[in-house]
Amino acid sequence: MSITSLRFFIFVILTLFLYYITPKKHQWKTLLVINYVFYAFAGIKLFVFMLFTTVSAYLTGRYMDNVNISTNEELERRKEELSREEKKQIRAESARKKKVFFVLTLVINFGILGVFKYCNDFISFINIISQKFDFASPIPHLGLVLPLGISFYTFQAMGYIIDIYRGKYSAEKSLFKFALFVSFFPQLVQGPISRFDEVASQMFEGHKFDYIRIKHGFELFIWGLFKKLVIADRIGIIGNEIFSNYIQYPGLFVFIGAFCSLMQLYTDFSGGVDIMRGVAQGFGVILPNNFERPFFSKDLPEYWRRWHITLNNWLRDYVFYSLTFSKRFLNWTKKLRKVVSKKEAKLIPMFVAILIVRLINATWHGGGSQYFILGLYHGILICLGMQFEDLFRKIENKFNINTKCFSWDLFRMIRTFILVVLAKIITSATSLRTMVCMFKSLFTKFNPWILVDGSVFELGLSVQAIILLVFALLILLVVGILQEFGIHLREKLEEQNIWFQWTVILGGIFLVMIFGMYGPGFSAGEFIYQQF
Amino acid sequence: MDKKALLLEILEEVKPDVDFEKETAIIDDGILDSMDVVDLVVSISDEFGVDIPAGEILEENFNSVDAMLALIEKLD
Repeated sequence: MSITSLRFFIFVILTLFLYYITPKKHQWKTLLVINYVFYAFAGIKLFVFMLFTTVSAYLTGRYMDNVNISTNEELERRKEELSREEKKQIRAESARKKKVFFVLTLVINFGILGVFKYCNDFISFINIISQKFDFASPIPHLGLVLPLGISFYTFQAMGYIIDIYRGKYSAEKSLFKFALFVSFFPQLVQGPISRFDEVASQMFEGHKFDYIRIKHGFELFIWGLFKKLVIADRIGIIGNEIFSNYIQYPGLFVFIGAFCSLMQLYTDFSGGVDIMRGVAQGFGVILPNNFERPFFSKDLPEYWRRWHITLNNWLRDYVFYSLTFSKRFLNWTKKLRKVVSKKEAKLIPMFVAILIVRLINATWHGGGSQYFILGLYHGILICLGMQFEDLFRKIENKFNINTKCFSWDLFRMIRTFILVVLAKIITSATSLRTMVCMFKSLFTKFNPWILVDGSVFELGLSVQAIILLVFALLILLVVGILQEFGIHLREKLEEQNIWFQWTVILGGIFLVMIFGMYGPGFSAGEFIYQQF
Repeated sequence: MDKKALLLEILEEVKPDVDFEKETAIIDDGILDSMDVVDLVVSISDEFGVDIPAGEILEENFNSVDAMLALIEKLD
């Protein structure tokens, strides 16, 4: 069921009705049934994988929680008599008890995810090798259908058991409530990847019908549709045209293609998340924001703090910190201090952790070699930025550059934006060879006149469509700038008279209905992130 | 040197030109990012002799100097 379809809209209205006619105490049960009905639309056979993740994470969580409780009780009871070493021993013993089930649950669940996501990439890789050395006939790809939302619910459930392992909070006692957290349908399609301690209680508690909250959710829903249907599905046509026929489009066309593909990805993904956050708000659940205007970032680390925030925070908390604070890394730092400077001894292990995180992030999106290169590209650039930070400061001082002014910030934003546009060439190119050709063409063919000679009007969109697109992108930019200055339009709109509020909302609906990419023979494209 | 002074010295080394004593939202306001936190934790581990596990890297434990001192005290 496409989330931009009328069918989905009717589904949401019906389920909201069901939710609010249910007594508050039992609303969470209704919500659980709604989630499973939504999931059944995607294919009942794939349901078993979500059930497995739910039950395995629940049981492991309960077991580890019992170990945590008895450890804490012992530490509390013997607080006065235990030395620091003895306390350490008790904690180590507790970790040992938890480890078997913890590791097993992680391995099996990530294993299932890995098989579904990377099996065919792995087979392709084997086939390339075997073809090269001519020692086996090609293995056919497996016809695996990716269960809806498997990346999102797996990361969410595994985040939960890591938190329990670390003793961050207590495990959920009810299997059905935990199942609700894993299966909450607004976050199944494209995320965000929520944390149990941030959203679960909102799902479990009952809610009164709140007109303002539901209206806010509806506004977010319309804004998401605007991004997806007016911008993403339109701008994507230009990107596809250039990347599919890259030989015809040299030089600056490559940059235009990458720019359009990046904007498509951003508006498609953030639009989809806005739609679902709006729906979740209808059920009284505030899901975490997944984007904070990433194109206003002044450097790449900031970009990754603003883009797909929940995935990056997940990787930071559960991979980056786990690596950098592991005994192995800390010992490595100590050993390095004997051979390099104190600063470098801290930086080198950090670089390794950054590269690992960036590679996981990139391969989360796809298993091909282009995603591996994307991870390396971002990882290496971030590490270089950190390594040469002092040198950059010296250059700034030498040339008396005022780094505390708008123009310098703007320069940094444009520089970061160009770097992320270039990165889009890596994954949008149809193959590795195409990617190399496109980079070569970008840097060797000089054709800036295409911006003024009408060439941009021959990229699959009519003049009117391009004017509309530019106008829509300007709206996106202005809203982004206002948000950067702390002005949030939904809050401002709430201060207005009701007739004005509804004029704006209805205007938004008409804008989406008239200018959305509908019409004969045209249907809304699949959400890019749905495939994850 | 008392613990607070030592911690302030470490923080000054990690991120100069910030009045950490006054700050109460060091992580929430983005004064220290994840790379700075790694730097800080490695230095705390060296200077105070405590191991800070990844599970304790929570905003509330690093938002203020007092919160950091409480964490060091708890793990000591």
